[in-house]
Amino acid sequence: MNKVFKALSDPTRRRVLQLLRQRPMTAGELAAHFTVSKPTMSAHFAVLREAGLVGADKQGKTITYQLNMSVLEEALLGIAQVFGVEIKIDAGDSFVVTGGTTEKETP
Amino acid sequence: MKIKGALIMAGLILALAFALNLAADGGFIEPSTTDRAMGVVTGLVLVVFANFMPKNLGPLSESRCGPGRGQNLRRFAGWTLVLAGLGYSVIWLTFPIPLAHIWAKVIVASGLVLVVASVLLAAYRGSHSPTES
Repeated sequence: MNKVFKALSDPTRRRVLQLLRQRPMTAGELAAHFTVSKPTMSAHFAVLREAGLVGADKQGKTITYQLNMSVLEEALLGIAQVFGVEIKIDAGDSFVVTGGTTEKETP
Repeated sequence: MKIKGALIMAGLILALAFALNLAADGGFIEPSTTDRAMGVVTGLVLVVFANFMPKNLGPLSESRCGPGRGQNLRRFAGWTLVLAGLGYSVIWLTFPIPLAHIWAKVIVASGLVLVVASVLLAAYRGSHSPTES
């Protein structure tokens, strides 16, 4: 679940998931919506894939991403978007939620 | 692993039903409490399975329509059945028993009808349009 929270913590990745709600898109189509570099986008895609929130279908040089979220994960995405929360997860179990009213840090 | 989880869940449900019936026979709880508890658990089981439906239903839903429609279909089915399951549990928790018997079934049946109708519609559209819009 930590991987899911980490994936949902970043606004760019949340925007990617929002775009994929409309339809599956290629990496190029998704990258066109953002100003960040392609390696950065690739890193975001890797985080989303690792969390199991998107599926990737590679055909030749084209990678098509599609949403692969459970209902609970979609609900979490909606909550994260409504409250604009940003969750930072350390190497251990510590995490900080900012942007909302909650702020928690475990030593 | 999925089968193991499903078997454990089934075992827990059977054990709970057995324990509740024993408690009701022993006069520790009202017989209606058994009905209520099992109704709530049944609704929650539907919620759990429907929650994972958008992740697990991929190849089935995409067999007759494109990936875009398939994705929307999976999401719709998951959300509809999760809400139906929650409704089922809430009805069993709050309604009088005779009404709960009826309305809990109505809400789940309505959810299933919506999902089946959306699948048939997607299949119809898939077979009548050469390209996906």
